[in-house]
Amino acid sequence: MGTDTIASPSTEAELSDLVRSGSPLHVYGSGTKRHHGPSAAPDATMACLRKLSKITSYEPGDLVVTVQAGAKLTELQAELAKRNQWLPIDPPYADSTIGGILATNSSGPRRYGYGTIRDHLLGTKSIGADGVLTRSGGRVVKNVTGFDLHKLHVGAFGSLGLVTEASFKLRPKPDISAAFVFPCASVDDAHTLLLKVYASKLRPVALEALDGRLKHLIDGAALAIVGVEGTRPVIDRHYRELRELAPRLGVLEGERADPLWNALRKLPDALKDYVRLRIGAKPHELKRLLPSAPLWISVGTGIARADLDPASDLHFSVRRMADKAAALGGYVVAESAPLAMQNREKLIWSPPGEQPLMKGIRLLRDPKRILNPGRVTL
Amino acid sequence: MKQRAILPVLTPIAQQEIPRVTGDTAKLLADLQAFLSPERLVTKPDDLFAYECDAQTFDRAIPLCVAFPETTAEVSRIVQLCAKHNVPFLPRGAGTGLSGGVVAVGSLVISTARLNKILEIDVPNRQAWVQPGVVNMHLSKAVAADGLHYAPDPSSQYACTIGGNVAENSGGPHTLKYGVTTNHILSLEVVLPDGTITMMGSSAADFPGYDLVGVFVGSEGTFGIATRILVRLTPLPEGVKTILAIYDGVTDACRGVTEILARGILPAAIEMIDQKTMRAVEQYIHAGFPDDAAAALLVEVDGLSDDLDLQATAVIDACKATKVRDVRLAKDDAERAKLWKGRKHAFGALGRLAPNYYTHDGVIPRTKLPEVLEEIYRIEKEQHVIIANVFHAGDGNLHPVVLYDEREEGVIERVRKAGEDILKLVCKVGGGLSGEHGIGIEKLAFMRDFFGEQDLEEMRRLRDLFNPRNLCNPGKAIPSAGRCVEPGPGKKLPVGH
Repeated sequence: MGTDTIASPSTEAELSDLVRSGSPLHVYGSGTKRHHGPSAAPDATMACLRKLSKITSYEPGDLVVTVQAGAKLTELQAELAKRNQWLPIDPPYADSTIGGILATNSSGPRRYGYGTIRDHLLGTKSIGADGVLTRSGGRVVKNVTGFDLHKLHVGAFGSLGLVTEASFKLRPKPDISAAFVFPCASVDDAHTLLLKVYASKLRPVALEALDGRLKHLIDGAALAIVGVEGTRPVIDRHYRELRELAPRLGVLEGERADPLWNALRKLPDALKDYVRLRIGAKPHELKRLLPSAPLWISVGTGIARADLDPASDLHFSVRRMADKAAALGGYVVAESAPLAMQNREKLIWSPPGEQPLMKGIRLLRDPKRILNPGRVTL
Repeated sequence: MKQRAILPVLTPIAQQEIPRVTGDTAKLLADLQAFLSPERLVTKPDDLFAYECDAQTFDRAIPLCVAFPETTAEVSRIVQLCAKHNVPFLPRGAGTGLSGGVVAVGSLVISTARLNKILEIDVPNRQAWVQPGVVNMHLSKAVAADGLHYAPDPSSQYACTIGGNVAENSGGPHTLKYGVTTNHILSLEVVLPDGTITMMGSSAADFPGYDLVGVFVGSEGTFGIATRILVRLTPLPEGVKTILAIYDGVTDACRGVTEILARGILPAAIEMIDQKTMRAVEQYIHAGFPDDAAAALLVEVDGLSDDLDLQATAVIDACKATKVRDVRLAKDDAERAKLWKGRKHAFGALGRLAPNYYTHDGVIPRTKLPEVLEEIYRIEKEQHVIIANVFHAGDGNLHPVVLYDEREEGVIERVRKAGEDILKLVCKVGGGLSGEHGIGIEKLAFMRDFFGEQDLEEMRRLRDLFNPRNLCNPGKAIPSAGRCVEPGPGKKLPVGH
């Protein structure tokens, strides 16, 4: 695509006009997750939302912010940090925008402690396939006025409407953020160790097991990382009890932990040339679903990510894994794959089963399939 | 006990919104009787009186009958029969709702009272499958020995059901820290309005596809009937401390709330109770509130035992920075339990003061609490009504309770005007119409103050996808496209319009 075909609306009205023109529209923010999900239809007009990047309202005393979809999360967090607050999510890709994070339901290690962006979302303004701007939810922290239509946009890849603005509830920043790091002999060992932490009385915000891909930072065939946030006594309590669980641990506090969290945030970008599978199950059942492949496991959430070489016949083995996972009550789905991969469209991108309701919702909201066509397979 | 209705009555909005039954009720009854034993199908008018309304009593109507299914298959069969005979139906839990969501005018009520089993508790993975009729508190009690609880804790939790909580997206005092129902529902088995049984969500996180659970929760029984619910269980906090802050001015107490939040403290709960409520509670159950004070804050901090003192001190310091008369820790579990019992029974206590009460449920930005509360008391004086305030201050979720005696000449108009003024105020400061009670029938007329016609149309279209013939709880949650009528406890008309 040439840059001359990229629209760059700076108001909701301009975006609405683009939708009303009736041609298929592929909307993106920073474009960090183009390799996530199915490929966009090639004939779609490109529209970048980065110009819709204002914080439209922020009252620190309310712990609520309203921000446009094209704002980068880092820009938002910097503004909130001035008032010692944050939106408690830490998804990958430094440049990712609020709209992109919503559309892909993207989350990071702290998801275990704080939930996903869905859990903090209070309301949206969005443009439907008819170009009409509508509101759902609101700016208050608790609200049952009307149906929660805004939740439909989370993870929908912009297929049910284009979010232009979203409101979130915020949290005060924790006093101290710490990472406890355990070098382990294998990812499986790290997984086992972190399941013990999960079952304990401790209250970590992140439980991450991964192979030796962070060797440049921390030596070890595999790592178990326990993220803890809170006051000094809480951090100290975790240190005491984690040391009893496994004496070999490193403690990184505050800014010293940043390189580790940043490395984790950057990792997906560095692995763009692989097919990344997301494997989900109940935390204690996840182990049975895991393939032998480089793994990154969010132990407390019950989600693993496996990175595989993009062989053109990979979809056969993915299908087998998915069937096995479904039989065990979990799922396997492709999360990202190189855009140039052969047979990319044959990977499993959608939920198992017929999903008539999901299909019905898509048909209802976008009967002509002009909103990000191709990006969902429902 | 609330007074027994002499005649079923419907407010004008209910008369307009709830459609008349045009289907073949006689055939439906016969088909239901063919497979439900008499004790599982209530049809006698005297018995049906118990199902004429929920805890909101402006609208009262007699259903055709009440069915008590025991399995998902039975729910599906009953719903299929309703679809076949074109008779509307609605699900009903414990009937503790506060917005008239379960008022059935000559249609079928499907009670979840016998769908009351906890099906599976998975302690290691902190999840439980329950049927919709399980009482909220029974679930928490069942898992307490394993160190877990079901976090959303509406004040009616000793009676209300998980199914009802799902329908209303219920909150409670501790949702300040733990979130509302939607944050705790992982998966649902739903009988759709055509009788189809479908699954939404998953026991695994980040299930791909659209968030069906997210839109079903809070749909007020208009999208179908949840027959199995997978809930997230939350570890019980290791320790809890409760702080009572006593104020001589209501707005000072509100400033206490904003001060706590402004200091970056996130308590598990911040509740405000005004003088009228404290007096009512003290007469009723002697919880230990100072009934000479203008208002009190009940603040709870919880978590690992290690920093509870730190958290409690921070709350006390924040209160001391405002015009507080006295602030102290509950000295032991017994005092703490008594204070909370007082808070959770506040509505019952207020109900003893007047034959009727009308509760609003608006939510406002928390920094607006002082000015909005002042305005509410001004409205009270202006309209010559009595308004008590007891609410989830930490969330900004107001519960102004207008107390009245409907036999008093002209009082209905004043109560309605007071309610309208309060909601206009909520709207003006950027708030929401309902924080947790739902729209039901009672708040329908106010929906247009908060949403545009296009917003409402999007909601109707989604409802129609789930519920294309509008047989499943018709006339609730979203106003139909058309003219507006008087909201609130209006001039009541006999049924049979």
